[in-house]
Amino acid sequence: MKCALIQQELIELTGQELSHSLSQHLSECCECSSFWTELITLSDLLVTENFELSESESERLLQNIEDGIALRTIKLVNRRSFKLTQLIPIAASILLLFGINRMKPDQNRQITQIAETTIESDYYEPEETMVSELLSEYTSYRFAEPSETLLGDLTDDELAYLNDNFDVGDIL
Amino acid sequence: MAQESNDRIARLVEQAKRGDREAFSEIVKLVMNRVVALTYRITGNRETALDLAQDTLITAWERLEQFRGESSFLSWLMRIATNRSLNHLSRAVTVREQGVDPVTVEQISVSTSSNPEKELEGVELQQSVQSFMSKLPTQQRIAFELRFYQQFSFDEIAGVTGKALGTVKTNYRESIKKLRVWMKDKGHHS
Ligand SMILES: [Zn+2]
Repeated sequence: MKCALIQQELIELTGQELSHSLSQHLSECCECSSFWTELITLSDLLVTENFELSESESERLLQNIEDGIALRTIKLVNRRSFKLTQLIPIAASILLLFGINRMKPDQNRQITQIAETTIESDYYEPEETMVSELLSEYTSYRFAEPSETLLGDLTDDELAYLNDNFDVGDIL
Repeated sequence: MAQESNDRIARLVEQAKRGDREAFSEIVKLVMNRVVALTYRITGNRETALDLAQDTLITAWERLEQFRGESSFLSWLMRIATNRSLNHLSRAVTVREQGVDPVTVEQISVSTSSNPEKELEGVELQQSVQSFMSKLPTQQRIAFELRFYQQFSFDEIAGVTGKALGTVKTNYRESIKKLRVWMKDKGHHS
């Protein structure tokens, strides 16, 4: 009975090291000792079966994984860019209205001319700065190195926004 | 897996979590052979195994935030790989039931040897072992691969497969018992 239990334990240890107490038993028991020798033979036979990737398989796999990760990152960046693109006209509209409301009454008649020469006007300077910031943010996301635009960079709110508004199930 | 290697992977995982793709590539280099070994043991097809390993590692990158370090990173990866492979097998069974060609166990590529006779013997043995192993129940193949080749503890295998510890041990013992009988039938004696 004891030997049956020990042999069960020996099977579980196939390919592993024996504990001191088991070694002790094996030195005293012929049956368990020959049982273990058989398991070592099996182990030696099977160890040659260990899986090895060839060099070309390794290279191909590594490349495919890197391409796969880059592709997913670009997909996400494009969708994020889309969100920023949408923001630009909205931000510009808000700033335009805000700018007009801040004008002095005697300037109202000049609205049309100011609108045509916005770049030089003090009133439109903040707008220009903010739009250019948005544009630069958009451009940097659009053309950034993929490593700078990982999923991990997104906040929980941004991830929720993407989930709610776009079909990103395959990415997130 | 050696503790040193586990520690190195753990450090790289922390870097990768911060978005370091080069660190993740390093992880891939360290673990890809083991991931493919498992997907191959489960599916028996080398190309399928490579595809599943690729899928596993890309998924791991995407879900890196979800890895909390409660198990080793390798165990976490193996769990993804096991799930993907089992899903693949169940889809393959569906296809087979619909009358399309089943998944076939492919021939193993063999390294070149200067001794043609020994090489032939090696080829026959490998094909024969592989063919025999492919007939073992899937959970026994998984337990065997992870325990015998990848030196996982039974607890870790239970974590990977979601099976009870006792079930995992039984699966491993059964695979060894069957392989032992196979070895005797083939006339390999100690
Ligand atoms: Zn005994």
